[in-house]
Amino acid sequence: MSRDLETRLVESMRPLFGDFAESALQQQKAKLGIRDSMDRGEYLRLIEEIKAMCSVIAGPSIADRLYQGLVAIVREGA
Amino acid sequence: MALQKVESVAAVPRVKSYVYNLDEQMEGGIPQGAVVLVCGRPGSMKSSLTYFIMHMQALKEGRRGVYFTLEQNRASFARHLAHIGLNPDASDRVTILDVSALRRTFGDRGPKGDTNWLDAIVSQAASFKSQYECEIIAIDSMSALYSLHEFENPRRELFHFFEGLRALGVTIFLISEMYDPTKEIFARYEVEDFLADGVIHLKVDRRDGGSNLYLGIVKMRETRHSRDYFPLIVEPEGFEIVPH
Repeated sequence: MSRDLETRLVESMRPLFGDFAESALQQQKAKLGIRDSMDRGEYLRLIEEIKAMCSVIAGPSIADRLYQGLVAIVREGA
Repeated sequence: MALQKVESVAAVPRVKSYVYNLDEQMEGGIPQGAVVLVCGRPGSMKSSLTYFIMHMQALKEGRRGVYFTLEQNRASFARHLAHIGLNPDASDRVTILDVSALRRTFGDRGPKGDTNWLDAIVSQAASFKSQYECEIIAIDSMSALYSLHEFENPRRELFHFFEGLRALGVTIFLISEMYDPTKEIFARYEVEDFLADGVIHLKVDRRDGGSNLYLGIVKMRETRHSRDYFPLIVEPEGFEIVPH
């Protein structure tokens, strides 16, 4: 996974995950067995998981807004 | 030298509480950008009242808000709100952000084991405001936040915490639990009410097997306000105070 892309995803997650944004992303990567080199499909699986986690933390509406932002980042960067 | 009379003071923009009869008691509402303590003993409806104000602001004025809950989980809080007639799904403009879930998943020490929670909450609030443009923030509760933070110098650290919140330029509600029923200590370190711009006190009067709620505005900067305590009534339509 591109370090720059990962940083952008984490920054986008920060309003909802705070200091735990990086940990949340790494946890979901580990859960999916994702390694550093990822294709677009894996990115999309990853952000689907982040969306599900966000839905528990902050509700489906804001999770959907986060998801749209993450999708845009992945489309630009993957 | 005589003090010069101030001819006109610019009107302070207000955030209406939408508690029936309350806004008239404080020049139309809470000054926009104020940091307000909402204090009371357990069961005094601090959280419900605060969420109600945010909910009404979202519905009536389209103001976005974020409600940080540090101990009660989101689902439980939402069920409680539904029980008193507030549907958190009625508007997507108020986000209930479950920090307790993050704590359960990742622990209280933070990713590097040394999280300064006072700074972390201010930073997350700033980040949320920047990305989602919110105008009202609530932190529930100060006691929970204190349980996560190891103070060396409470007065100094709380000064910077309040200044950090104030610098966000949004209206802030801090839920503060009062423990000693015999004293009017509005927050644990007894400096919070000096640092805050406003203090709203919810009092529970328990006697003869029943209990009544009262609301008092102890302090509200830039505001001429009543200092009386008013009966607070919770109806299906919302909150109401009964003026004397």
